[in-house]
Amino acid sequence: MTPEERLEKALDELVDETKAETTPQQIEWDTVEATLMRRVQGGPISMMRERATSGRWVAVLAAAALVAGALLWVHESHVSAPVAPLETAKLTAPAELPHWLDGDAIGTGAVVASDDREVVVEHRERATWTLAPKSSALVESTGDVITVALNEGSVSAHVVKSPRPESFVVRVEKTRIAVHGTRFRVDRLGTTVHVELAEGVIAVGPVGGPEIELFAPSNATLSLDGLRLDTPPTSPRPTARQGESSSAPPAKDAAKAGTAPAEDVSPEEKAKEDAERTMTDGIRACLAVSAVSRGDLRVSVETRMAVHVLANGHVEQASFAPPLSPAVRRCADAVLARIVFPPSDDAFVIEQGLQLDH
Amino acid sequence: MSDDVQDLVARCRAGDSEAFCRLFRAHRDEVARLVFRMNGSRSDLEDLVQEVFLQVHRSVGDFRGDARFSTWLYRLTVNVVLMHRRAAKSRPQLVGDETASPPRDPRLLPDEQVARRRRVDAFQRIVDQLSEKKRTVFVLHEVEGLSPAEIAAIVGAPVLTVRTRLFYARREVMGLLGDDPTLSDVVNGLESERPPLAANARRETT
Repeated sequence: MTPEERLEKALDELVDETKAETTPQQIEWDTVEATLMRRVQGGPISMMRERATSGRWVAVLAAAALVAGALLWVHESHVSAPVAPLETAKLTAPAELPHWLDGDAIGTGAVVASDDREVVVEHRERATWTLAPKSSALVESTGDVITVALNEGSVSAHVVKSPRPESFVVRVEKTRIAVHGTRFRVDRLGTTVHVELAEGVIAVGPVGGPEIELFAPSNATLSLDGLRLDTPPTSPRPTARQGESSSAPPAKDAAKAGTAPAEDVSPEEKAKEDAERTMTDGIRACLAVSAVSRGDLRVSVETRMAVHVLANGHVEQASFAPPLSPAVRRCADAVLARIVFPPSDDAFVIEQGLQLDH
Repeated sequence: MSDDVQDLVARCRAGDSEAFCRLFRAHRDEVARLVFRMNGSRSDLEDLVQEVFLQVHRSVGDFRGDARFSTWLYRLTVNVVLMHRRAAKSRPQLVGDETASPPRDPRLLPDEQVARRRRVDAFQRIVDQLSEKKRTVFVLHEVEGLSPAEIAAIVGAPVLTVRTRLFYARREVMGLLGDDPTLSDVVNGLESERPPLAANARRETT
């Protein structure tokens, strides 16, 4: 890494930290609002506003007290240090019904968590999102854009169409899914994020980075950094499986393999797919690190790789067309050296197109 | 009652205080965030947010809808913060008046939180050294994530000028990074000593 590259990287990292850090402290919004209204309109009206607001908050707080008394639940696993007070809500409901929360009464910073039942959060005329059982999410903003950070589990949402470019965002670590009128579901699965789109269009990608549009019906798997891990089904570039089918030795039952559902994949095939996925993710990471991303300048890295794998599962050689830069190639070689496929009867070749927009 | 911004703005212009209140609630978070990032200080945050919305109330009649409301609101916010900072220069500076702590990130351990706070403070001091124009575009682009075209509309400058300011702002900040004792550690130890923020968060949440 050259000194200049190190500075660039340090700057990017500091900007990221600043973004994460500079969320304003808890603001007494009721006080600010009351004072503002007094300044705008004078005593009587602002006092009415203040009373109305207070009344509303008394109702909200009373409801919250009932709720908290019934089911207050703190995410101990997420509280490794003393944290600013967060609302954590679980609601009681008849056994057959999901819990329900008024999204308009939830403040920024609230943590919504579900137990064995779903929690439905409704923002009137804007969006309704549903936390699957055993899930939790932090409400990051409730202004023009409702932003929900999924801590664990799954969230699905139905977002009312709006003229805004985006009105609802789900963030999972550094992956961002933005929508303005659609129905979709986001699952946090360990170190990946799965997005399933039922209606409309959504944009997925890294926080602060370039986004990819998905059109319903479709789905995508992303890393927690927002990089897409699966190959878009509509992509004209050959997928790994296509590459394998053209150059790998015949499968034991090719016809069956071609039509069998995913759950019928043998353990050997599964191990091979896992190794292939690890390899692809690693090389994508090499590309991501090298990709230039400065301001609104976006650089797309695209290459086609052919990986020759010996019968013992070790990578014999790999080629990239167009070739990778020396630094990325070194990184890719290091990835390939660590990959071991399950032993097979014969050597085979994996061909795949790789693209990264950064 | 629709919460649509255009509708709210129209009703505000007609003197509907309820609509103004809704507008305030809908945009207060983003204004507070921008004020905080532009001002680089937690003191005066609530006063400045109030000041921004007072300006909104006074000027909403001038908003003709040519630009997006959010762009107009950003412009007002930037101007309020710049005016405040200019005025503050002529007043005695208070040191250590940061009475409120920022929310803690539950994904970080306490020592990591403190270390990050120190880095962010040091970084803000560096950004503060930029000229007003460069600092404005730097914060709006790098931290707020706005495009040069959006920033151009906010600051009233050509896009090319914004890009130029961004380029020099970024270069200037990079030049200052290595000189800061806190941040030189970040630069020098980037590859080996400190895991990136994302790795910290991932370690805790997975």
